[in-house]
Amino acid sequence: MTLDHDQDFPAETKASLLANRVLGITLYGMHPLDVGETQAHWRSHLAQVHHHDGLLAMVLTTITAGFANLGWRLTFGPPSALLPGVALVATGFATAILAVVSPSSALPNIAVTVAALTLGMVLVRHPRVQPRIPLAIGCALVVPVLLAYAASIAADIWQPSDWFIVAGCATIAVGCGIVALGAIGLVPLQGGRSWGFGLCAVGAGSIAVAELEWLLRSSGFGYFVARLIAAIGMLAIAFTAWRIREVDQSPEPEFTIESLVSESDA
Amino acid sequence: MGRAAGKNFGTRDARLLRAAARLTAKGLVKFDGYQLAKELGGSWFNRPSMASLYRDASQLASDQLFADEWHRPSPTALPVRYFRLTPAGAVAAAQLTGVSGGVQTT
Repeated sequence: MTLDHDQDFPAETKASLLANRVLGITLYGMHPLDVGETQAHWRSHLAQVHHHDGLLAMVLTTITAGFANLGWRLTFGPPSALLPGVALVATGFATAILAVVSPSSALPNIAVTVAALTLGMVLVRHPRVQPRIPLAIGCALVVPVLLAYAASIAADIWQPSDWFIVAGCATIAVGCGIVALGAIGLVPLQGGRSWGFGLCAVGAGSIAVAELEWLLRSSGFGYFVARLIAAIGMLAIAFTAWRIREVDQSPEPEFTIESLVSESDA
Repeated sequence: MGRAAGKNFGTRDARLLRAAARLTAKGLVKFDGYQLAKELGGSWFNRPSMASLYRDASQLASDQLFADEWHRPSPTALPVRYFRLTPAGAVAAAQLTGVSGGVQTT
């Protein structure tokens, strides 16, 4: 969508444009067609709220719309960079806390975090149409790390819920492997994405179950917080992977308003 | 137009259709999202957010219960999307409220 920002808009319209630009953060990662249409709606609405109801009402409208849009996107919305972002931040915090409260297990946790970061960066970089080569490299790098981690956990089972982590890591590794095979063309791309990300979602869900079980058993506050954040992060990864598998990879045009707008004679 | 003949409206869809019918009955043939939001009224707890409002209105337009057009009210104004009830939308609204309103079909 293009808009002539040099146009001499009234001051209140400029304020609404600024508010709309802030709201645009909540649209990050959405398809350009949806972003353009949504922002076209929002900026005229905010301009009218400012004109008729005042600056405070416009600010309140901006805040409520921001929260509503974030909530919608995190639950039902189109795939975006928001969930991977949540996952990455949660995983990073959880690992940092675990490294402090349990130095002996810091190395494998950090290794898994690096793997999650690698995959997450691929998803964040191009949340909708993912270029094949970065997707293949990112997913392929994750496979050995997760398989090694799963093997190390399997060799040292402390409690039954550890098997959920073993199964989860192994499932994600297989899923990433299938996505990578699809990205380099050894299996059909869409089929590889669908099955691969589907397995990633199931695996992440399995790990989240283990994290929740650990959370219930945790004795210290640090562990509790770390496991809680880790569980949130894994659930975010699960939802993201499941939504991303459904995304059509064919490029679509951006939203342009000029062909839709009619000028007033008044 | 699949939902027009049926009664499978969500709560928010039904509220939008009822508000649109009230605006139409007041003689407002076409209305924008701000006017719809004003007509919906309600408190902060049950008022749909701006984000939800346009998503729902767009869905009703996709279902051909609303017709829509983008229009720039003045050369220095931002483009605004105007909605109006279609005949199918008026029928649906009438089923929900008993208010038929005058519907412009062109």
